[in-house]
Amino acid sequence: MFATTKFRLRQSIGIVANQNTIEFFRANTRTSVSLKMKPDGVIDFLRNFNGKNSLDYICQLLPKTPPDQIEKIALFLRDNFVLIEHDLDYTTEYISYYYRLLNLLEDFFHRTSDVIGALEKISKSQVAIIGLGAVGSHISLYLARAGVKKFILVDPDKVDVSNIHRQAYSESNIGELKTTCLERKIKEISPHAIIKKIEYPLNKDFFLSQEFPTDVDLIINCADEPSVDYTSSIVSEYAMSHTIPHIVGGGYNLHLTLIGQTIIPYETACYKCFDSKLTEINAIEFLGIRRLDRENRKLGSFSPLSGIAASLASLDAIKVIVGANNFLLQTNKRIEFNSKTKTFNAIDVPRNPACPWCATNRHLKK
Amino acid sequence: MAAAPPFVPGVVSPVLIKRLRLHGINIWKLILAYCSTNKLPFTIKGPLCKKSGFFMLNETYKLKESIDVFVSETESPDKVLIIFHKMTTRDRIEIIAGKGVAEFLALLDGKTTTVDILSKLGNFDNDSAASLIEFLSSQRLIVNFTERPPENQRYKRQIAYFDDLILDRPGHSTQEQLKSKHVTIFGCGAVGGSIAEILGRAGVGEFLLIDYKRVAEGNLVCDTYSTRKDIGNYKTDVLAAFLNTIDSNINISTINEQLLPHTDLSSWIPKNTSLVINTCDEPYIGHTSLKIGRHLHQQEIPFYVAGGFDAHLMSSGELIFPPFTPCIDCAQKTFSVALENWKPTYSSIEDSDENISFETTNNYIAGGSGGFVALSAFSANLASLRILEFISGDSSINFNTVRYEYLINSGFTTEFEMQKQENCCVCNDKI
Repeated sequence: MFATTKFRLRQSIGIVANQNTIEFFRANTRTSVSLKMKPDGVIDFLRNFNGKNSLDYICQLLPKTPPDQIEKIALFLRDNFVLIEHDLDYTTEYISYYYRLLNLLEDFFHRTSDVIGALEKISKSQVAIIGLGAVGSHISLYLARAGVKKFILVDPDKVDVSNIHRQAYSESNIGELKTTCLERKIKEISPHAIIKKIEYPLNKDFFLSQEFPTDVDLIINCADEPSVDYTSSIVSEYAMSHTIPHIVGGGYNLHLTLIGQTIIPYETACYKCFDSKLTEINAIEFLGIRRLDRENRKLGSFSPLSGIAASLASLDAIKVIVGANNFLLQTNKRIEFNSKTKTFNAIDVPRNPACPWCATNRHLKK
Repeated sequence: MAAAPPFVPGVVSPVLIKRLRLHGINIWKLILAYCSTNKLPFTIKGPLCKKSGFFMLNETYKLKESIDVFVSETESPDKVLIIFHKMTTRDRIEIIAGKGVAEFLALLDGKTTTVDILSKLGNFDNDSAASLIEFLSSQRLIVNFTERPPENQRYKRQIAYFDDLILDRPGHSTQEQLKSKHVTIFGCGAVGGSIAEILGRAGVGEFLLIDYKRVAEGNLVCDTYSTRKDIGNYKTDVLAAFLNTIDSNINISTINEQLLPHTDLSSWIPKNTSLVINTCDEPYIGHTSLKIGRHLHQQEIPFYVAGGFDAHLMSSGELIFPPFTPCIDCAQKTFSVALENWKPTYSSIEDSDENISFETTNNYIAGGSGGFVALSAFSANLASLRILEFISGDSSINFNTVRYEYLINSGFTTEFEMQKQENCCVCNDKI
């Protein structure tokens, strides 16, 4: 720790003084951390951490307090997201376009230089979105708004009138390719975006027949035809072999309330881990039960439900892109939204130590 | 049927049906054949069927697409447990029935008439078939394909969802109802704009949009509707134009004025508005909601206080519609009582004498409230789920006033329920 280090008290921190403890309430993340200390004068003390005063200077201002104690408190509060180390100023462009996002990212990092690094990662990352329906179309635009500039958009379909009630298209887009419409919409937000469009269905030879770039930072699979299991197994197999983080989008035709899972290859439960866990659960649940067979079903759909899946996938996507993997919410879990109680039910799906995909291949693939 | 039918067209009594069956006559086929040749309407008394005209057995039904059917053995050898699982709403209905019922369900394809299905199955009891169909219809597990109106291409998937969700009426009627709704939105920021988009896509016919601000650069990261070319224009105008690209038939009016303590709301809010949504969080959502909520209470207009504002970026907001819910004063008092002993101090470093270097023209506060379109859209979707449930007239709606909040870094949801307060003069004269 250098004496020149500057810290800034996060503005989103609410300070509650109790008798012998101080509670720091992180309003953005709605969590608290408490510290045993006398509450008198704490707020004034913390106001010295304004992003300009160096630690050294603060020690000089408070000659009665031992410097090592000030440093100890400062480090504790930094590690607990109460103070942020202000080691690099934000540029005017970042502030004018992304100040909300800057503040959001500050909750994932301890230093402003890391926050700037995160924004740079976002603007340099390349994200593939496969399936541009109710979930994928919104995710594409959300990520563009967050500053993602390189996209691979995959969908063979044209916009149909029945899409508009839940997908991010307009009446004038009817009959146009979904990829073309989204490219235009992304460029209205981010004029310099680079978009590769693939109008080819996701099937077994997709990755072989298409010139699919290998320098992809994240693949989000929102294709649910013929089924999400079919498309996800293909996407996951490719992503695992190239160690690309990927997200299964959720909210699709036969499973509207499912929140998709985020997979960091060889670190979190992979598609196969999920698959075997679910087979196991279904085997118990469906013991002695048969399902009536029916084909070509088109279920009802409702935009608030696909919208919730899209927004949560986008939040995890940003966390993956900036490397805030500790804060991912959809790894090692199968999450389902209950539209009646407005709550999320999660089943833990840990990595399977005997997984044919991710248990043994780890070193081989890396 | 060569012989004249042994009954008088008009009313068929259960006694007659029983007597005919004793003679081994397939009465349904008999009646239907007779009535259809003679183009006669008829009514059947008893619990089987309350409808007049052609009896349900001559109609075609379809097991709904969204229903998964599971069949499981029971202890009794001739009975099975049938589980209907609504995949959209995740509701579950279970019945114990004879083995033939599962086969019967599998044959409800929307093409074959029930009477043909029954003759294919052979030894199926007609009476129980009729009551089974009545039960399945009342639970909206099957749809009558004979009566079905032409499919609404634009909203067919949503209509199918309403069919599962709202049992009061067929999905297409719910869809028509949405068209006739007028929604007023205070605040066209990230959450207000996103709610407007969701409701507009869903088919709400009319909007009043209120906001005095213009689109700024920093809005693009949180909004779902603004683009670069909109910077500098009124948010209301930009949002209105956006909604009309989704549906050119949406009627929109706008007010570009700031809501102030002395604003005369009766000149702003039309009396026939179906719902008012408040997303104005400046200076504070509590203050603007109190002003709007008290006015709406007088007018008996439903009110939705949206979430997603600073420090509650992924919260649902709540419906305020007294006397079904607490009034706005009671709702807010629940918070102040719950948080009585918890008073956080937020230290704003920007008013310290030595200002930090990156002050700009927008309202950026270093380390202040975060935000990103996925978070505001999450709040807006959660709010819209409740709003659509309410304005689509679902009689099974639960009026518990709960604010849900999703925790951005842990994935937990917190719930906070608002209660009517004992001494509230506003609520108590209505309860």
